[in-house]
Amino acid sequence: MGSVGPGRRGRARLGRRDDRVAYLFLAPWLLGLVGITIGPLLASLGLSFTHYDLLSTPRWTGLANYHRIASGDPAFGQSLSVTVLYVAASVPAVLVISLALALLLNRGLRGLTLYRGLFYLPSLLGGSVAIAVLWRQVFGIDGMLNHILALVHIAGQSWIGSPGTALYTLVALNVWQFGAAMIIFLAGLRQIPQDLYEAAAVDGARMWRQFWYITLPMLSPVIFFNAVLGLIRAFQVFTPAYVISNGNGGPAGSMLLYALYLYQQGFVNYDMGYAAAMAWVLVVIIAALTGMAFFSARFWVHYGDTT
Amino acid sequence: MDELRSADARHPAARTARSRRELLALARNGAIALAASGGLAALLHEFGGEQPAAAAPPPGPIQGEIGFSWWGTGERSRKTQAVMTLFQQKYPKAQLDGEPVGDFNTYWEKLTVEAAARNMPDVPQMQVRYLTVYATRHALRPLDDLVQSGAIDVSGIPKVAVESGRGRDGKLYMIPTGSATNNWMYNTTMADKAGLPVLRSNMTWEQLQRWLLDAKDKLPSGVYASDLRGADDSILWAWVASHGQVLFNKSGKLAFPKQLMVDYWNWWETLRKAGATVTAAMMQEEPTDNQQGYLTLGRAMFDERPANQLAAIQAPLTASGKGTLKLATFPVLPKGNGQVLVNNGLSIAANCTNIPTAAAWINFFTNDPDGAKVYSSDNGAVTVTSLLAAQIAGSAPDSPVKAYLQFLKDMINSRPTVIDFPANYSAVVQALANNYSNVAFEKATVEASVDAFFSQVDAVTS
Repeated sequence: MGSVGPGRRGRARLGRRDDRVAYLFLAPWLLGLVGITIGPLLASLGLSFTHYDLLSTPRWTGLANYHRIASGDPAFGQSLSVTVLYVAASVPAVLVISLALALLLNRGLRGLTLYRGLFYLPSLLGGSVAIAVLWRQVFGIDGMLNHILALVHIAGQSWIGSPGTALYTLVALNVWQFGAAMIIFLAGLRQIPQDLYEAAAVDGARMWRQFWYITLPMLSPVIFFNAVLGLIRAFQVFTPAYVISNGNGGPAGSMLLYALYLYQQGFVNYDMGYAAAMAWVLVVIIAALTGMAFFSARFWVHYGDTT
Repeated sequence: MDELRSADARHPAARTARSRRELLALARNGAIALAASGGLAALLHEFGGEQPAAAAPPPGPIQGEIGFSWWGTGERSRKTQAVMTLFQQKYPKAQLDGEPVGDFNTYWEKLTVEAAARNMPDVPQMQVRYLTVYATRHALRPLDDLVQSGAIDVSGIPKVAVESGRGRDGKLYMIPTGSATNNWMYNTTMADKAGLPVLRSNMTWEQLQRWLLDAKDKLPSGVYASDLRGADDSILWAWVASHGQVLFNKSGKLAFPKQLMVDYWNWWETLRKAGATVTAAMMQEEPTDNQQGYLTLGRAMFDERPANQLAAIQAPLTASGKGTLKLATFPVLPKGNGQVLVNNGLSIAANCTNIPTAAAWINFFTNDPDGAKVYSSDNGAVTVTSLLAAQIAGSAPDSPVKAYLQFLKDMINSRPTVIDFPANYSAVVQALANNYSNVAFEKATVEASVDAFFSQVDAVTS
């Protein structure tokens, strides 16, 4: 009889043991995934087919909540249009400003570390209640912005109290948090081979042509990443709208973002079933837009040797 | 091969390895089962649980920890915690875990989430506006047995006040500890300087409107005659009640004519468009904290405020030298009394497991003379008649506290209106704010907004 050694069966046995050890190390995360993410997701899907007021047993209503969304809940339509406007205004603005500053910082300025930290700071603070309260003070009728405008003899107004401008104070708050995207752009810029720029310079390409034909294509995966993440995040903004509008989404519904209206339905109107349905509609919307972004990526995102 | 395998199996290391494999398999399977059963149990709990009926209070000592929640910050919290300290000194084995929430509206949102999780504080502060929300959904424990056994003494509270704590099933869910009312509060210093007559309780709404329109041109620059309160639910109550109508029917739906609501918002729009009220943008910007409102800052002469807030709102005005406040009732007219009684009180959560201590705390807060003195009716006039009389007698003659206590005592004696609030009252408040905002910013007509208000309220209260 020859020796068995670590033959096929032995390797299989070792493989199964490795799998079990891997599962053991994964177990805490898996428990969290099931208990904190998948479980509540499935529960909310179930609740979306019920009338549930948080305090009583849910009552099965079938597709009634979705029918209510589809048949034209005016406030739902308003919240969706306000949110789309918010996303359309803030996401491109964040991308442009963060890229512009990343390009500036990539020039090797003195004090780069300091500037990078300062520009990143708003990203850490921006989503907080404290900053939202501060934003009310900055853009209020007696706020800092009006005091600055008065210095140059421009009449101020209540920026958060006027339906025409209130949403744009939220856009400004989102744009102010450009730091995270900027850091990612900066890292992406550092990955672009310098010899491409040198070759382009030799061929007579000026700064703009280098940016258009080298920087943008090489940076396109990072732009795509920031755009998708920014879009997903912007659709779910809640805290600034809640704090700045005193929770009512005003003035005249101009700050009634989707997540705020969802919150009102769930926790003010005690209609958690409808709120759950709204949440799943939002999942579909975000998934569809993300899918469209991924589809479009084949036309403008260049990865590595596909340039 | 078999010998080797069996030899291998007999080897201690192999046995250890096998038992380790078994252990890993057991752990993996157990983890999956645990997660699944936990999620399943949570779902079953949500979809299948019945509330247990309230049992008779078990005999037991007053000890252990209970949670207690209230709304309000600053002075309200300081007084509340002082009363808690007195209770814990009297019952050293009992411990109160306080959960204050600053904003009144946020308090109810948080309480609802806690109730949904069966994790309400053992003794939540309650108000008649929201009592039905929790009582009809079995989030509160009936208190009749505790009153009958003497664990909670209500003998000193007028019967009409005690009855306000009953739910729609007739059971007692709230012990009233403070009688409050919303009413007019105005700066008499500004009014006197403007040469305005004193507000009378039997002034009609038209006379009040004329009073404010007269004031607007006589006040200093930057000071408005009134805050803009078309979205204020308590003024709507007063409007409806003083016109002889009922706000809600037994089903929780709006029971007054739409035209009355159209007239109400047109009343406010007449004032706003004439410049007698703050602008719509200022209305949107105004903080919800009473002490940061335009009346407190001296930027409006007249406003609606809870009577028990008189001292808190007067203090900053006194400090800034911007005038003295006075209370005035909502219109009390031949058709109806616009003053609405709003009782605050304490309840016991259905999930409370320390009934003796919870009952003892409610009894102490309601009846203890030292506690009442410390709290000094901060959240409504103390409901125990003897304690109220003592506070009125013991207050300084010209103090705001004495003024509002006497005001509340007189108001209670005038048989104010009692409202049967629906189970989704917070949705009514939200619909009122949203639709008046559209009116004030001229995004919709009054008629269209009234139609939207009625349909939204009827949809959520059905």
